[in-house]
Amino acid sequence: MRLSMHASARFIRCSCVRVAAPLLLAALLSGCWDRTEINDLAIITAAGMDLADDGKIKLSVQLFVPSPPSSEQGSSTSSPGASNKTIIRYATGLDMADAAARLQEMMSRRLFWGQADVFIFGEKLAKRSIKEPMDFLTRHPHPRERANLFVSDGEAEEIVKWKTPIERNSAETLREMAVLQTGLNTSILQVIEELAEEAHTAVIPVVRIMRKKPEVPFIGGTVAIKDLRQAAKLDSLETRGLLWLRNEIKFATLTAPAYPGGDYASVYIYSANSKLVPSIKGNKWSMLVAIEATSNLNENASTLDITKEANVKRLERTFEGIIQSRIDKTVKKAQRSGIDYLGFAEQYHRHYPKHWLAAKKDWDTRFPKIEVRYKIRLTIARNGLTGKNATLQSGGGNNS
Amino acid sequence: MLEKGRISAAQFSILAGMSVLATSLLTAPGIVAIDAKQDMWISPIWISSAGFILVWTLYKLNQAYPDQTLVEYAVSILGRFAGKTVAALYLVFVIFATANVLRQFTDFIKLTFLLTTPDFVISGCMLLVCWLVARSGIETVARLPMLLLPLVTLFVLMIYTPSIADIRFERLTPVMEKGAVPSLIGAFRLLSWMPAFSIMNFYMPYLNNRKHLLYWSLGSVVVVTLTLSVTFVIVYTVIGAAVVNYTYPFMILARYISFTEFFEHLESIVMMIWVIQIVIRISFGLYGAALGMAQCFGLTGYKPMVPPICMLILLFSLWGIENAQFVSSPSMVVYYTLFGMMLPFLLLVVYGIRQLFAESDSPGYPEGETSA
Repeated sequence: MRLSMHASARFIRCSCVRVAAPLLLAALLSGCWDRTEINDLAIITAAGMDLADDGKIKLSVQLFVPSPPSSEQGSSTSSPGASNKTIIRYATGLDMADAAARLQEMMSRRLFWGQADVFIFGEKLAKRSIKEPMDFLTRHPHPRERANLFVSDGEAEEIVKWKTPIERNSAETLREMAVLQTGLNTSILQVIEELAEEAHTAVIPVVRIMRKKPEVPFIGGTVAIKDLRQAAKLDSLETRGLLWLRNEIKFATLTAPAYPGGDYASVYIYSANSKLVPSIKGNKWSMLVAIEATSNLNENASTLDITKEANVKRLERTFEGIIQSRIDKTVKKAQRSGIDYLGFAEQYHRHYPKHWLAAKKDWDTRFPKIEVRYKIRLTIARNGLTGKNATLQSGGGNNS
Repeated sequence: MLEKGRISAAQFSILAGMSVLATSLLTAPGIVAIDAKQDMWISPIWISSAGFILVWTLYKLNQAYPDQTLVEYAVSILGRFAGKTVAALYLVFVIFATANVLRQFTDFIKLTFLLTTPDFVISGCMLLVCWLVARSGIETVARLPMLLLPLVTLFVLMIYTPSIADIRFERLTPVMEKGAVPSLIGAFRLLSWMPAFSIMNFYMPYLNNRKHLLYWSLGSVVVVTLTLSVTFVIVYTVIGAAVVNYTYPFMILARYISFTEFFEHLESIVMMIWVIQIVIRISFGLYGAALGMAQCFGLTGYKPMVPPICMLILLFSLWGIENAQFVSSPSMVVYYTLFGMMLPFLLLVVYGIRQLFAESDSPGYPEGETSA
């Protein structure tokens, strides 16, 4: 009797397990109930923010539309990505989030910001305020901190919708250009960081479209942001000066007459290092710009014999002068406008915290009066594969 | 004794260290930076003194009552009624502190990764794992961190190493621009983490090599301080003044990494570090609370207490905390300091006073048995 009761209890337990196990397994069947496949997403590669006429924000996005993978095996032989399209969509809203929500209304796919590498502010919006879009871009969890920021010369929409022949889309083109660093390369994080620093200024590169056919956007110039709005605009050459001050010159080609009245010579700078050294003596504030650069001779069409050391030194002095005049032009411009986008404030804050605390309030009036001195050292390390190159220089010299 | 298992001092210190570091890596930088700015790396060094005092207090209490946890020696020191009351309040603190951690975890996961998953599912899954860990006994709780430490170290290094390229040390200047005050305020905000060390008391009686206890515990505080300090340095030198803007600067750091344009999107590593650390931290608190609860009410085993405490933690984390700003609010810091730091210290003071009287009243009265 007891044995049979024991057996029946065991039987019940066994059958319970037998029923429970498949039921538990069934829980796994729901598996991918909330899956998001790539063709459910509208992948944003670039976004442009413009100020509409009624004060609203016009958002234009460049969407990457991946073609669904074809079921046939043979299709892989055709060039990959050929059927992938880039399309442009627009929406207007009270602020960035509103515009994005309105954009979503017009889309059959969910907007995905995670791949957006380029954000462009229209000039009009930049002149009003970049506060709204910047807040959206940093608060939203998707946009990446390393995404590039630009200000467009004109409507941002123009650049977003431009179709590139080389890269996949204009976002890719701009990003690659920024990486090459002939102009500034600023990420969202950098801009936020600079705005949080003492001077509350930041610099953002400008994208222009070359108005000749074919139309090509390029990074030419810089916009300085103060109090979250565009306060000054620098052209390409002034931007180079800014890059020197910010120690962001990676490489540069300098061209100048080898001696007054002579033909041109060029050097290619492949290593450059600059430093801002502030000093305060009494009531006189000054800033020393110390630069060390190493270069190779790139071209020498003049009759200067660069196999002689004295001539090389002479050439070095010439190019040092060129660098100085470039930087000085930018510094003068900044001081005239009274907006410190050169990073001077930060240097005084770091090296003279007490003086800075006292001078912080009237920095805008003090900044233009700062004396800037230069200590530039340029080395021409190599002359290239040819030395004097007598053949060319005798021929060229006769003609001129 | 409710627990038969024994752990080593090394396991004990790794457990405590990783538990305290758990949430601080991710949320502390943004909170400390609000006031401390470029001096934020000094704040952990200030607050380490509080950690040292706390650990020393617990050590002294443990020496007086080698086989008892705080819940038990509170009764020995304060008498039955007051002791039980204090112990119960302390247990509520442990449960609340653990629930706080769970809430931080849920918020982070919900904000950054699982945007549409319900809170309850995230917290519930986490608690399920911790429940399994805690009910497996002290040896599992203490050995799990030791097992996972290399993994966490590797992950943390995977985030630190590629960020070296973006470090700009001049961002740390001027050091102590406005004196020590900003970094001290930052240190004050860190007080919502350091008191977690007090949960160590539940583990101290079960050490098999107790003579190393003090060194390993102090070592744990040192390692926590250094890790925090180094993290703050890296976060501030990479992100700079913008640290203040972000709730999770550590994750921004991971997202910002772009190593040869190939190692990118490392935020999933942050998620892995975070999940591992939180499992350890919650099991640390959960086991302590369950054991303490069983001892407080005189049960014969602590395991039946684990599921109800899980429930309490879940409810506290969802209902007890209003919004995301709770982590560093002054009232929270005061609450943590009161129970995590002042309570053990006061117990030690009362114990000291009792010893004094016991000695003067009846010399030769055996130590540690003033009120048995």
